[in-house]
Amino acid sequence: MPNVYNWQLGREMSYPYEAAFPDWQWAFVFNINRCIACQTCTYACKSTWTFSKGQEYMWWNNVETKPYGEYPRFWDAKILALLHDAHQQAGEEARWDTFHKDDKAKPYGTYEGLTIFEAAERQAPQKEVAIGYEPTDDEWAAPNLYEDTAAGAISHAGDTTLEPTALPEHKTWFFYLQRVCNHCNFAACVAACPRQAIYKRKEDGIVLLDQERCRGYRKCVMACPYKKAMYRPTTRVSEKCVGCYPRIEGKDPMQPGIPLETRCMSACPGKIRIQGLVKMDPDGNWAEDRQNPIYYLVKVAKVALPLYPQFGLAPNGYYIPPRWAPRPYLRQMFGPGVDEAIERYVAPDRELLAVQQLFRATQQIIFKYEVLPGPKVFEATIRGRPWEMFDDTVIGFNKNGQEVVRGKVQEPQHVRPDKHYNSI
Amino acid sequence: MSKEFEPDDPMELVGVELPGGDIDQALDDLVLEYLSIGWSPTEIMFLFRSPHYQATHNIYRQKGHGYVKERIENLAGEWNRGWIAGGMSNA
Repeated sequence: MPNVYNWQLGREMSYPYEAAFPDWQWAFVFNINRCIACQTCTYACKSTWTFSKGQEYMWWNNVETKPYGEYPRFWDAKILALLHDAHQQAGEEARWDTFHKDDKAKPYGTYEGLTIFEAAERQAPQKEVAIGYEPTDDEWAAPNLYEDTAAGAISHAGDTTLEPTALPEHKTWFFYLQRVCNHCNFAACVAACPRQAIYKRKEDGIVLLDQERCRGYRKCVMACPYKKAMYRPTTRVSEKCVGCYPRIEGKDPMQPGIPLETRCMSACPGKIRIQGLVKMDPDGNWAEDRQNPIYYLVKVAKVALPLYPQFGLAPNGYYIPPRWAPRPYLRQMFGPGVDEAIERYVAPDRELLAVQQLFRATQQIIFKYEVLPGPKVFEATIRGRPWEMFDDTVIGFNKNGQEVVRGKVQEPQHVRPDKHYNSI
Repeated sequence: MSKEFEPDDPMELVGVELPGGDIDQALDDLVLEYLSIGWSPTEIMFLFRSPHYQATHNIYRQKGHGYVKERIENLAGEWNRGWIAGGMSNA
């Protein structure tokens, strides 16, 4: 297989195709710390794209409760187990060299383990382009099964009555993980398709599946470690998230000609999401674009990290990790950048605070932002960390350079009058 | 009935307590997150008292009303000392 450079791994890796990158790349940042799992994003997507017969179990966007929840069930536990087994068989260890970093080429250090493509190469004979599995119907059938709610009483054979019992429940810690297709740089679905029915668009990096070419072999379903390619039994072809490409192209009738965020992003009431397009260099890294909010969050502030970078797909979804969850779990999920990301998030500098105000502030994609300085309004040491807040103003601009949003770090508070307290 | 975590059954994380985590750290982090977006101690306490918010309510049940209340008040006090002229408070 050809070698391609994966900047998230800080090294070259094997991939079935030669490297080819789009001019712009669709990408997003989710702040896990603010998500309440209301599933508004999930239903915004469902009601737009997957409401038809045969799509009942298809949730292109889902929010699952970690560490207990998965959709499809066990997806990450299963692929992590497969990758672990592959390392054991190869006598290798999945570890990161974090001593040698480079801001552009290896911001998280170097991953010295196997990716899912390299693990497949070690199989003799090689069976697939990437290690993976196809989830069962049961695993697809019930998103959010046994997650936040109690699991119910456990019955035993021969019992005719159930003893009064306290229902089992999760304890200690959890967080919500929001998931959509990552429109990866090195997509496993693209690599695995024997019909070359899946392709990455040059204009925005969105990965699309040509249903005319697809014959429903489900190799994409097997290979995608994030399990975001899905099979539709009524049409016998596979389907996947389309990145709301008509909105990205500016074809939404609401604002013709203006790129809009996807439905799942723009519906978020918790303001945890921001989505945009980043300029790409020919080598597959991001071109410097300092005032692009996504570029700033991922490359400058480094508070947002890719999901399971060790799989080797260079996913384009980035997450601000939850500050309260155990670090070993988070390092496995988001790589070795977790500690630095959380340090910066819990004591943010003034630019990071300002940029956070852009999350879900407008439906239009923000291509550039500016921060106008305001007065210092807060200064303290919180649990040993110096913390300052400036009431700066942040301004977001759309693709045409027009101002589309303006907000301050101190958001105005509006208190509903008593007589309307509980009305909508 | 309560089920213990079974290390040889990692696929069935249903209704079991997974080892790990620091409950005091989680309490402080959750309180600080809400203070940073302007919530008052009363509003934050509601998240812990209400059984509808399972993460915070589990901490409330494990640590007790007095402990959680005192921790919120201490962190809010530390936080509120930071406001200077022109700033909002978390009142």
